[in-house]
Amino acid sequence: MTAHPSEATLMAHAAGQLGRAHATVVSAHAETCPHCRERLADFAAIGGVLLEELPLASMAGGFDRLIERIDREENAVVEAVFTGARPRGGPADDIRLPAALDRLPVGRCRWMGPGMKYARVGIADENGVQLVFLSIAPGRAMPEHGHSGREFTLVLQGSFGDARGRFVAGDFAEEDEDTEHTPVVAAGVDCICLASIEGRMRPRSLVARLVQPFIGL
Amino acid sequence: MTVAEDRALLPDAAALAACAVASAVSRDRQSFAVLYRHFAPRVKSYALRLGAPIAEAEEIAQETLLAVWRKAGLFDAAKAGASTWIFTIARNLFIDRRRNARRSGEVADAALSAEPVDPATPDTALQADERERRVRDAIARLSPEQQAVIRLSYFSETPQTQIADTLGIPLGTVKSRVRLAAEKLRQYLEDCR
Ligand SMILES: [Zn+2]
Repeated sequence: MTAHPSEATLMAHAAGQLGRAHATVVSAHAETCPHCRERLADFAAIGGVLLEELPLASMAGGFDRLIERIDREENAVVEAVFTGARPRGGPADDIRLPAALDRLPVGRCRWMGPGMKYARVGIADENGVQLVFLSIAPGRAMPEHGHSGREFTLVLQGSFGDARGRFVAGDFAEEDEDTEHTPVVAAGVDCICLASIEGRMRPRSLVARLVQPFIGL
Repeated sequence: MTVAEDRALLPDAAALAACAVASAVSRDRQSFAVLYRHFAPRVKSYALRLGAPIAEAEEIAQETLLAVWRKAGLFDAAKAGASTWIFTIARNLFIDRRRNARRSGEVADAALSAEPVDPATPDTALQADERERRVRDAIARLSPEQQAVIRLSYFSETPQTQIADTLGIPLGTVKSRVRLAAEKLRQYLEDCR
């Protein structure tokens, strides 16, 4: 026997008018029932069509208020999410570090270009992969670059965005030979990242090519 | 601006879907502004009908459009039209707020915050624009009374009571009217295939 919820029940579900318990049973059924998923999609589309027909209520604050909110959120200082020790020296000296870095020495903070600093983390990697802190000033674009090996980046503070979206504290970005990107740091606060870089970065821009031999990345 | 005037200026479904995609891909604020102007006042209307006070309705409209901006990357124009997608976001947001309000004071239970409302993602290849056309046709074929029943089923705080009031029928017979309207709707939807 194939028994399904009634049309009225599916409609109430799509309309958001079922309570949590009933809704859970209907959802659980739909997980294994393509027939009902299809019907629920119809009823959701009915919600969309009816929404179009509703009269327009006036919005007091409106669009500008929402954009201000979006700007505020996107530029907000993202609290570092880690609970490890505070590092000594390095560009990341006022945030907490991941516990995974406890007791690893951090080298001196060095200039690597306008608005950019880096510091090496003293770790003996068996494959010669370098571990560094990168600190990029707000609004700065990192030099467009490709990779000759894998590069993992963990955001510790602030955020950057590229074609894939926005990366905030705790986010992990993975690059390899096939990826080329131009990360841009959001306004507001320095973006500090921990990056493990295999091989050499392949900078595209002139500035980056000038900087590269200097920092040896 | 009256509703009628606004209808004449309506961006069509394809234009709205294009705006949602542009919001996602290039974080294009112009496109997002088009979505906002079109949908925020309607979502506010929706929340008002569900019984939200004016300030909360406005907040729900703002929150919905904020979610549209944040989740624009998840929008799949092939699976759902922009209005369907935004309706489900607004609906889920409203439900969450109601549930959280009801729960305040109770013991917080992490399991309860799981969202049981379906994403309503169909696996068939029925295109979003095709689905919305069918839906429009099916609604148009219902009697005015059945249309009212369907609208109130989606857009009222207490559908049963409001349907009884609107049609001037006893509460006890509302259920069968709703059942009938939903079944007619299904029949017309199948006819339109
Ligand atoms: Zn089913």
